[in-house]
Amino acid sequence: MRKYYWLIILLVTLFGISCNNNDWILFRASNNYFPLTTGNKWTYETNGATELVKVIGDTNAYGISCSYLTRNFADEFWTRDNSEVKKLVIRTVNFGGTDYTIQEVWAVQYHLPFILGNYWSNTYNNTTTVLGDTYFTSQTITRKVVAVEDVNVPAGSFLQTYKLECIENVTINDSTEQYSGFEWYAPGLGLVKSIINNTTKELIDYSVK
Amino acid sequence: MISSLIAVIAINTINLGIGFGPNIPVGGIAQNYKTTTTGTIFCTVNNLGIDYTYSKFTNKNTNIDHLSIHSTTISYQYPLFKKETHQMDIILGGNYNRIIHKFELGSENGYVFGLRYGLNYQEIIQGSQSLDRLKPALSGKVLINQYIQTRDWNYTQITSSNFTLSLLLGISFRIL
Repeated sequence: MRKYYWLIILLVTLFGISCNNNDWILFRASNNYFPLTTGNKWTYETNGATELVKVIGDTNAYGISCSYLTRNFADEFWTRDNSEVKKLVIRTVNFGGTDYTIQEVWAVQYHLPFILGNYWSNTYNNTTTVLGDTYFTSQTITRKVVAVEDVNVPAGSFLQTYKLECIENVTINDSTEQYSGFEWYAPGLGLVKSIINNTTKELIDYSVK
Repeated sequence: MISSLIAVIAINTINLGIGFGPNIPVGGIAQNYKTTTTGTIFCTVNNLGIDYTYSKFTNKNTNIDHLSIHSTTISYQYPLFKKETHQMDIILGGNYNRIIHKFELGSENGYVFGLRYGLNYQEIIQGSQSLDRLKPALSGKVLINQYIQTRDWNYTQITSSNFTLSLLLGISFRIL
């Protein structure tokens, strides 16, 4: 009887290992889909133009500890508060060569970890008076994790990426702009592709620690 | 009738037990998930064991992200040494794991197969002879669970593994 135990164990093991395409939940759960480590760099291409995103380091912006990034040498500040990833959004109007801030908010962009079906929407309203003129700003950021897909971009092929549906409405007084589309985030790497308002952006090079 | 059947299939011992202890993510999921407490119910017939184990891991960054693993394992326990009151075994087995990941409005469900390696120590509690055939024993297990994820990708078979280390203490009853 004893020798058959080994057979049972072997069969169970072989059955397990031979089963293809089982779910990679643990793989996804063990990876960071938004790595803001100092020194990380991503280069994207959009309609022939390149965009370089670089994590410069940790800093303190408007009283909040955050990561300091540059996007084509323009400053960006991102922070993570428990599960929420926020970006400092500053909108200004210019009068006579001077910038006046009409919106300044740490806007929630993502809820981590990504998980299928999760959905979040945040609205930020602000009213400011600049030189006697009143500015009403409203920004609504909505995202939904809609799929897990494999993605091919010039930088390589990436498996188990999360596909997010993104809708963002920005209203300043009577003018409204809408951005909508999809983003793909790869494990350990971050954004690899986006299609926003029919414009495709793809990762062409990266250096991630 | 039953004793005849037991004799026919050569069952020498049957142990039933429960155990609790820490389950420590190692490698992969340790990056995002904390150590948790796990519970197990097990049964061994001769050297063949079957058990159900449940673990619920919580994210290090947010306590509303939970990763639950329901494991059913069949294992073989190879005796390293065996005395009248205590014994130690090497455990080798395969398991089927149901994974449930929940966070806010999202959830993911799936399964992975896995392997288990470990050690089992069992010591019969002295002075229990009055219970006749029902012998209680203290049980300690050190288990490594390897969760294996495999799939085809670009005509290549790729595999990823995650590991947890469990230290279980419990009690078992030898009913035969």
